[in-house]
Amino acid sequence: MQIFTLFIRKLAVVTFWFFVWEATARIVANPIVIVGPVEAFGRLFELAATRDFWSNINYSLVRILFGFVLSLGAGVTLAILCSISKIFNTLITPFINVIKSIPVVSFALLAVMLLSPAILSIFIAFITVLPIIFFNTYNGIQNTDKNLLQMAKVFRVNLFKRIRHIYVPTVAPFVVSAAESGLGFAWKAAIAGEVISLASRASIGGAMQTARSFLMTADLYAWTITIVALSFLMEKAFFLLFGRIKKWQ
Amino acid sequence: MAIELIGLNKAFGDKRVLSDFSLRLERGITCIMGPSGKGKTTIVNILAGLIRPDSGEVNIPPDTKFSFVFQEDRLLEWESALTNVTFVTAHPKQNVAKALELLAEADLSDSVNKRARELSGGMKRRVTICRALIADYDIIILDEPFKGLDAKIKPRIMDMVRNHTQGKFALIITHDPAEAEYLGGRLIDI
Repeated sequence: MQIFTLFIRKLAVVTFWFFVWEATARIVANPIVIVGPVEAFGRLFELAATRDFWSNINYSLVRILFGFVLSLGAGVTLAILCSISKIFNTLITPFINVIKSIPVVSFALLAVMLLSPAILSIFIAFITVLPIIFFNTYNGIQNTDKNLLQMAKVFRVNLFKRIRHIYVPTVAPFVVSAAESGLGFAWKAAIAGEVISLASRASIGGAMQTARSFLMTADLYAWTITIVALSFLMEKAFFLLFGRIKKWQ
Repeated sequence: MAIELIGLNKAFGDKRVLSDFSLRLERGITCIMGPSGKGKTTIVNILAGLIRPDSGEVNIPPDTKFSFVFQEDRLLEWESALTNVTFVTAHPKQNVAKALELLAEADLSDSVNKRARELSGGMKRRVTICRALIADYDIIILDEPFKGLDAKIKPRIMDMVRNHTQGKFALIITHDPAEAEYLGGRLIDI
């Protein structure tokens, strides 16, 4: 019963905002400036019936996920190396701090000069997520209970067992939390990068750029709805796959 | 084998904890008693090589292995009671039967598969004692091992410790004279 009430409440909130959106669009009455939800969703269904729509999603999704996975591997590896070696830490941490501060716009514009449009999304997803994964994993390693490590040392427990039973359960929830928020960042940043850098038209960002150039506002709205929906689905899928690890400890 | 602590001095900042402390350990149980802040834990930590004395000598044979019940439980909260016990052995799978025996002796048969975080304070304490007893090392240090155990189970656990430390160097820190008396062995009051 409670779930039903919650569902009705959520539905009421969504309906209210859709109504506000539609009303605003009708008041403005200029489809180049704003289109209402009826037109936006209508256009989305039209686009979804085309092959290009799905190939654009496929193009961006595969690249962004690839960049994300690369970043996950690199972030965790660098955090481990920085925890082991002070010299490495001194060398790498400032570099990743700088990456963290550089806006996506700069990366996108710089990358477009260096890289082919085909790998631009991979690069932006990678570079955006790297600091998040790195710093969270590093903090996780530093947060490992010193008393447990001392206990393992006294009993001469080997490194493999220390990693499996102490480090992994401690650090994994940090990595999963970082990956969860990183995934959303990667998705948004990479598409923004695709738009800014006039990446391949085969990408979502490319399709948005084309829609903007030809003042196809309904298409822009339809793509935005698609991005939000995909981001939501990815977040849910990630939670289903790895959510349990967050409660490991 | 002889174990000797000779003329140990240790201060933490301005606070002098040990002053020319010496101890010769014999095989069997040795209880160290004394009020809080007198350096009992410092002594066992120096013996196990966890902290260094400011001066003095620790004479133990090289490569001596220690078994330890720490003042805090130091359990892997996310692992089962059984895994916590076998964790300190070189071959956990080969030591499952032995671990189960020890856990049964500590009246924990029903909790072997429960995660440490699901256990009560007293149960956790018993797991740490089982963990220390499975590691069949020559020196066993127990820092307030019976803390938090209820009066009903305590004698059983003290018997368990006494039986499993026979022929070994067992150094037990306690606040309770009754515990020291029950365990027998040497008593050092500091």
